[in-house]
Amino acid sequence: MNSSLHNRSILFFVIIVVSSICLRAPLQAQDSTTAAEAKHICEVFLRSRVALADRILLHYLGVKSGDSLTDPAADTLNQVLVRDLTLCALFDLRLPNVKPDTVGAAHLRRAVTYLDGVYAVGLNLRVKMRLRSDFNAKPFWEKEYQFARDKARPIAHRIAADVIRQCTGEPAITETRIAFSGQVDGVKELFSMTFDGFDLVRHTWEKNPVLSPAWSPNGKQIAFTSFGVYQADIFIYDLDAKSSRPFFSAPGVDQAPAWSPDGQWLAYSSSVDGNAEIYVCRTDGGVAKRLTYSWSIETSPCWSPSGHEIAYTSDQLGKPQVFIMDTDGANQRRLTMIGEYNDSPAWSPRGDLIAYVRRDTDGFQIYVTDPRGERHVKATTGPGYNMDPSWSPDGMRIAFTSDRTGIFQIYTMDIYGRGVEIATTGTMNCSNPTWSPVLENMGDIGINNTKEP
Amino acid sequence: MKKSTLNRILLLAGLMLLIGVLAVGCAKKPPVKEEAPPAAPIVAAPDTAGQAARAAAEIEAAERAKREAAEKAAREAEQGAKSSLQMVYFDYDKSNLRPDARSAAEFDAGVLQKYASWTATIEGHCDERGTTEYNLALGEKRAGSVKSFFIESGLAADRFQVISYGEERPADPGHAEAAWAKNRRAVLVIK
Repeated sequence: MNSSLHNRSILFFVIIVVSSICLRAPLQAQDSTTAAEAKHICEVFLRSRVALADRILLHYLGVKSGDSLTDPAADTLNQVLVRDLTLCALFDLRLPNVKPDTVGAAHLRRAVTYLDGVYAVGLNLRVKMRLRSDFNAKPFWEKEYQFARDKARPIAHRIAADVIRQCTGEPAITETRIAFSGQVDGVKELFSMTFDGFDLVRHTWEKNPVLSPAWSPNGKQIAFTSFGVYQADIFIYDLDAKSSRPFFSAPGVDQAPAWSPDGQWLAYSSSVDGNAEIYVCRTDGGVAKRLTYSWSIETSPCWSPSGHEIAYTSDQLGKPQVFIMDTDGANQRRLTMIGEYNDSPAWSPRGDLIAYVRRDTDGFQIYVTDPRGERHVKATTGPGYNMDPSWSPDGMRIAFTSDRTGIFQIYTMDIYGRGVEIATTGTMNCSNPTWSPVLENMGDIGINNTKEP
Repeated sequence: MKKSTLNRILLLAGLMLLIGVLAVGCAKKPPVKEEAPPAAPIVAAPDTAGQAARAAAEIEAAERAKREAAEKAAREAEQGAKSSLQMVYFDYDKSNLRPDARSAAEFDAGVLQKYASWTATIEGHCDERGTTEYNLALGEKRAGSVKSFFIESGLAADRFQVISYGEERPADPGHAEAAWAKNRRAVLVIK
């Protein structure tokens, strides 16, 4: 009985995804994605993300006042919580003003959860949140949060993170930030913001371009490329110390740092031996290990989440293409076969997908493929630039750069290119986003960090 | 015990002698300085000597002016040579020298041959299309191509330093081929 229900739910999900991809088909005509191909792509993604079919149906009933006193901070809390639970893409979220779907998904799904909360107004706000598996059941989780009114946002992110952990065990992206290069007076400096585009913080005053930032797996450091003693050198910014130090400085271009999943190594590109090659070096120093030997450009390394492989860009065939090799440099193989310009690989933290940038007839676009390169799905469309993909730590969303509004801004989208959200909305040109891991101190990073040292 | 006392006395005496000599030396110096001014005869010299001195000064001034003019001309010529240096342009996603780039580099090599004391930084730049990282590597390759050409032309390798700015410093901020063509370049910056 249970398994047939499960099969039905998978079938239903397949129908939804196939139909949504078919609807997108006219947009992708120029990319020659046929309906049959779309179905196959869909199956590939379903195999890797079958957990999506089991998305929990979450009824959010809102946070209400326990007595007659209300507070606008509670409205903020409600709004941020709803946006967080939508953006994390782990729930089939139902809101109180939406009529329950009795004929569609609702009665087919196993897991139904109710989330609500009660608040009391005082010097601070006190909110008690609870999760129930049935409307009349006792809560299986309860927690009280106390906070000052101006902290409604970070508290909403914390509540969403706790709900995600209680219901799914997935990394909670609601407590993450996105760092990026932001152009001030013609020079790119290091900035970061919360994953939903708030609490913008400037981190550096280098007066030299800060490029290719990469957030460390422990969340405490950001490696980047800038111009030092020689030309491009690699630096590491420490979020606690609020200062950067050189990591690797040698004659030639040293750039594009990428942390290994355990944070023990940095892979990077350097022309110290005369030509841009990929190297790895322990983050605590030591002798660098050279992985590639060719006359061509090798750059933009990124690690697989297992730490056993590195994807990178090479133009050894005359045009940049994405390759994969083992972390000792062996077993080099080409991942992208179509197109004359494929670059900027980013390996999903789930390991199942690799995003990259291809130059298409309609500009630079982000594609997503599997590590065998069997199917390549176009995730962005439209003229201009869609570049610099960086995965959320749960592997459900991709941050990227686009100039679709006329200036370069940071956006996020899901793996199919849907649910596009603009994260930066100022007049500053932004690029090279890097998504942080889940941060324990996300609410604190903005504090005392916005003034020039 | 007795010997060490003697040593101390000797040392003390030596020190005092040294201080004495130094003091005398210092005291002697000022009179030497005071003797110097009377040696200058100009103040008391007769008129004829004054005329001769004026004539000599005029000749010297004329020579100095000539020298300065020549230096200025040389400086201007050098400045002119510097500004005559040609930009080397590249095709999209390419770092090899196309024919017009080759003749520009040839011209620059000729200027560099003439001014053998010059050392230069060769900057490599790219247009905005492509990723930050690939363009930083491509800019280095472009500057490297120009350096190799100079070395082949007989210029010393140690006169050149290569630097890449990728797409970070466009010459033209536009977003079309006209601007991109100007931005895919190698620039010689004479130190």
